[in-house]
Amino acid sequence: MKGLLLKDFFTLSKSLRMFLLLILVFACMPGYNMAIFAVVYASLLPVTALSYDERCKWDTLAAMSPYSPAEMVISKYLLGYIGILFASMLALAVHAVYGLFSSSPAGGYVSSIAGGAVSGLLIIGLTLPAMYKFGVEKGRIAFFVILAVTFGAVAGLSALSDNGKLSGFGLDIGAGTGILILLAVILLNAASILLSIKFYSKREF
Amino acid sequence: MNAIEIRNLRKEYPGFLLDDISFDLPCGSIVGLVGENGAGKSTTIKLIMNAIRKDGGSVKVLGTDNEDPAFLKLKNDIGVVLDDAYFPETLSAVNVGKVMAYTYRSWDAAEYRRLLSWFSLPDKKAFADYSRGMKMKLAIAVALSHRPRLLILDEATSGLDPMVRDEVVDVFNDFTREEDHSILLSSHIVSDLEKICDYIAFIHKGRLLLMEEKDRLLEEYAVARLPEEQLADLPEEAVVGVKKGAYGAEALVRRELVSPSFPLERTTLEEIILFLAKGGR
Repeated sequence: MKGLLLKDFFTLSKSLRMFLLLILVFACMPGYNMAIFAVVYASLLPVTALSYDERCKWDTLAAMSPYSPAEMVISKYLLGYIGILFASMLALAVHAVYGLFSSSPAGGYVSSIAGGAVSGLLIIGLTLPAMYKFGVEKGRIAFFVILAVTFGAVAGLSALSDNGKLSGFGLDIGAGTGILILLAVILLNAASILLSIKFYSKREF
Repeated sequence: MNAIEIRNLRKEYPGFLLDDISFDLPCGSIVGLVGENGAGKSTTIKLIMNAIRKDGGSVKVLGTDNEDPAFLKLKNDIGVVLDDAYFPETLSAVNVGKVMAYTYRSWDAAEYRRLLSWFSLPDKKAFADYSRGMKMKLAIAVALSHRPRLLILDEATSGLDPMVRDEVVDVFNDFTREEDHSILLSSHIVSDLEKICDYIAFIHKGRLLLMEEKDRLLEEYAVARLPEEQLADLPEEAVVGVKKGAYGAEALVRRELVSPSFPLERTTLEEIILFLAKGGR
């Protein structure tokens, strides 16, 4: 598994540099949504890595090595989770440093980043099975549909919220509801991993 | 003991059938899998490695059924080189070594460095900028650096210039100096197989036409070059295949079934394969 993550790290090294720059820039920009965008962007790392894998036929080579289908799949989910965690932490750290020199409030920012992280988890959970089922090219169509529906729904709900103000990706929610949403997203990811392993195991290389 | 045992292997694709493939790779030997492009060599190798599902038959590798969960760990002992190297384009040889160190439990970093140096491969150059020869050398270096007992090479020498091919063939010869090391080498370059193989398995249009010791094949078969009208003088049961041209005919024959008085010439593996592929019996 470490080898697979290291391979993705090397493969994505150029994208990761741009990713770091994005987080730094977005975290320093006024308003919450740009930082959320950087965190959500991290959830796209597995799809980018899969796209590189598909281009060089890495899976054909990996099928000859001691990696199991479960390891192949879980490594991509881990890549996304690590990316989201790293982006969230970095965005918060940069914002904290930025806050020392400005009057930007911290509380709303933390909930915005948390909302972004949950959205990222949702994207990973919803899109990766499609990638493993249809491949990256065809899966990308499913990916955009899922992304549009998910964020359309979030935007719609936020418009219907009390004051229509976007916070924590739009929804003024209590801590209890937030935990329930997080649990639901975790469960979705668990089911998503199992489904992806099933799809990957059926593939031939 | 056999390093590979294949029995009645079958795989069907739309428009292609690999059927009834059975052969053994005895430990300590090199089996050459020969056949035209699309004959089923790569399919056979992928079936051996359980990278595709078989429709029938059985495969045992190093004593383990390849559908047994234990086969996954056994892949640590199998070095595979495919027809292309398939490493990510941005990785350098050093990066590939670091990835493989976490992939194979017996990764030998010193041996990997030695092979990189022996093959004159650059440490830092991105894989995308490698020539075809360099890519295949890197794949071979990786396959040899996790201390495999079995090497499976699918067209590993195709597309390489003759000098590089010669180097690579030497590496394979060195590998089999250990008596429990075995190689399955697929190629359509028969001259490479003739140099190093102990056995030849010939697959043609998805069927195994022969599996024989190479030296025995070369002893068993001979070529008669003669005017077309003299073909009838050869015993019918001795003739394996016939080629007719403007200046006469050539017949591949079973040497022992032809009278010693008949002028026969020593044949090559390539001639045997060509005669058999073109409708020999």
